[in-house]
Amino acid sequence: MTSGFFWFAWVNAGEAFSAGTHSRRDENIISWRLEQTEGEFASLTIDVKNPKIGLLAPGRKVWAWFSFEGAPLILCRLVGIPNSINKEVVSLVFQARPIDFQDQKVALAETLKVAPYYDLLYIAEDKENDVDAVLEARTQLWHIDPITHVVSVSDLLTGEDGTEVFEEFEVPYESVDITIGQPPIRAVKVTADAPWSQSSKGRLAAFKDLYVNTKAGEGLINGWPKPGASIGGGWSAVDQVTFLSANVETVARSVQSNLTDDDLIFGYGGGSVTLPDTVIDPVFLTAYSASSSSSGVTSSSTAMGVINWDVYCSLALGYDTGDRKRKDTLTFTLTTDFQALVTLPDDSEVLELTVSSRDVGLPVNLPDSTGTEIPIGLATRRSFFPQERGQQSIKYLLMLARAHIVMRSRAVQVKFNCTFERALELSLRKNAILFDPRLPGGEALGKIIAYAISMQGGQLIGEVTMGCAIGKGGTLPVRTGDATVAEEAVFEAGIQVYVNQLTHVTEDIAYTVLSENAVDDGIVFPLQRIPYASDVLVNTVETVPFMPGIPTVSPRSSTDDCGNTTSISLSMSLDTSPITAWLGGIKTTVDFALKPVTGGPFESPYELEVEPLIIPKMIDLEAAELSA
Amino acid sequence: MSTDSTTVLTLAGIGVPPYSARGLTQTLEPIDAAAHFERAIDGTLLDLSYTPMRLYKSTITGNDQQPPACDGVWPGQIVTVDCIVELNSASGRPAADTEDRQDGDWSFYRPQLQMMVTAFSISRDEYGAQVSWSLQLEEIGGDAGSSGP
Repeated sequence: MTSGFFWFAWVNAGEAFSAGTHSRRDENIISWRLEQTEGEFASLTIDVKNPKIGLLAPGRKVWAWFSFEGAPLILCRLVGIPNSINKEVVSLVFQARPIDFQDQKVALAETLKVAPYYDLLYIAEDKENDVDAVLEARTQLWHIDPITHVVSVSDLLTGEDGTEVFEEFEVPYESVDITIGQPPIRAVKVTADAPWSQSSKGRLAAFKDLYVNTKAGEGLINGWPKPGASIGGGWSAVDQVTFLSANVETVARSVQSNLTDDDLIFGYGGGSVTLPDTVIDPVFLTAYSASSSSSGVTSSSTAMGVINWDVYCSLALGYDTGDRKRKDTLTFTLTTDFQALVTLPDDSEVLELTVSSRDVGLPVNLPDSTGTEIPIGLATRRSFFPQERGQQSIKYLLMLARAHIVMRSRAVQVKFNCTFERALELSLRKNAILFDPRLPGGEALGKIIAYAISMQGGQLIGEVTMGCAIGKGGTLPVRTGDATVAEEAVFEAGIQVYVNQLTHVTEDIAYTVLSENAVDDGIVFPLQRIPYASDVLVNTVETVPFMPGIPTVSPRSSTDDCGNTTSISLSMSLDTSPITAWLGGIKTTVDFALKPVTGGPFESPYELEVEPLIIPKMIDLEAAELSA
Repeated sequence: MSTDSTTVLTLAGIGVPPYSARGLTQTLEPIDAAAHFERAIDGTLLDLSYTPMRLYKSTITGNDQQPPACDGVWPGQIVTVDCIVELNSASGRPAADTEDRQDGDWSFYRPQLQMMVTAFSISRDEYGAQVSWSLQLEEIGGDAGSSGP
């Protein structure tokens, strides 16, 4: 039994409710229906005697307060002129759409742009300003209060404002109706990629004072890479130093002396020969003379020398990778275990989601508009998903898959009537639980997804529709993982590295932390050392082959009868040409190969292990028979 | 204009001519909307009625020599009815008489109801010089007044 009166008052937009002012009847209402469905505005439909006036005429009020005994039920705006406007009874439809609905929605959306429920990387650029995009990975829908017009969000399974309990003695027997809706999604297979351009520049010392002893030092020096010279594969010489010292290796010597023939010396051998100040030719002749005042011996000699080079080579290389195209591809399948409904176990419905992120190497706006971030952090990185920011994206993708499953998890709808007084307590931000022995398990818990209050033919009734998830409930396991750095408890928190560690994103979803698995050329940037593709080989020539000049003996001097010795002229021709030719034919090389740094594209697959999603059991479709 | 003094019935707006109201009967019962019952899941009978619907409907039948003043009587016409039927407790309706009838501890009164004609019929037996008529009414109820925006 319900006492009291309903009131309908036309009001100005934004006019606050006043029981004293608005408890009036501006229209004679024959019947009415107030209803709201999840995610929608509440509406009021009233049947009134045709006022036969222009309801939308300029100056007429189009907002109305509909109230009951001084308590507002809905503040609403006339949607349009009624259909069948020629009838004696017309239906006026009102909607509780806030004046500032869009502004409220935008303001609220800004607060919802938080990880793991929002990741701008996976929001298409044309949807960046779409406020509805903030709910894509949330198990929530917009809620608009029919009285206060406050815009909020409400969870699909768990109401924020409590649970309405409906006992057996207060729900009309005939009104309970159970319908099986769309079968749930049992698995969501997600494929997500994250592209970026890996780039790095730098310089490294390839050689530091590499010692080379060679007879072909000049060639080595002249051929040493000059600064700016491209080596290929992204490499170039940026600096080079060759430090040179040289000594002379005497390869032949001729002697002239006034000694007797027997004392004549010629031959080959080393000797201390002072290198001329200016060395021009690798092969040279130099002469010296000596005399002895005591003995009166004089001699002069000519030596043929070859420069023996001691080269100390240094080389700094620069590298510039350019844009190495990279892409991480993450795949995972989020499953859940639903109660049997209409599909056979093998006919599980699987939803496939393929999403692409923006270039994670380019700046994106931070959700709070305080600046930008480069998701990959450093453009040199070889992977995205194993990184901290990548983990954030993984969590978002998990939330996205979770939202799809949860949305379809409410496969059972339970509808029933209630008294007007109970209906006044209904809200789409609440759950309801109905006790009815006819239900499997004797009860059903659900999220209120629609409600209505109506008066038809003078009879008031409330209607409740709730969506019941048909999961199996349960809890996620806890797995701290295996320590890899040292035994457990050796390090403080944050130092130890674990594998097979389970990360809980929410109470119902968890995944195993990814390990680095970059598939590429193995080069890690920034380079700490030169990535040689081969050993460094120095090919040098240190020994001069036996290649003397041709000694020539001039006619000897003679000794007279008195024993006086006349000068003996003895010489040896030192021909430099063979050695010069030999030197021209040899070369000293320093051979090494570098890995090119301009490789790519690279694609690294990551397979994420995800624990089955926990969906609550709101109705027990597999319940055993209730005891009497 | 004289009225039939043989009845206490008063139909303001219609009138009760002489010799039209002998043998009058009046029924008074709740309108259909006053009753809204449902059986709950556990069998409990629920009263879901809406108290503003606690209104009467009435059928007044007459069998006399004269017809009532029925010309111009149409469904929708509002009539103030001083009922024949007596009620014995306060129903919230005004009393037709200035004083209630007392009988021991009980107090009886005839309600004065604002009603609307919902149906009317009249028949005449020419040979028997009998006029039979029936007037069906429903209490208006509700709250007075309305104003436009």
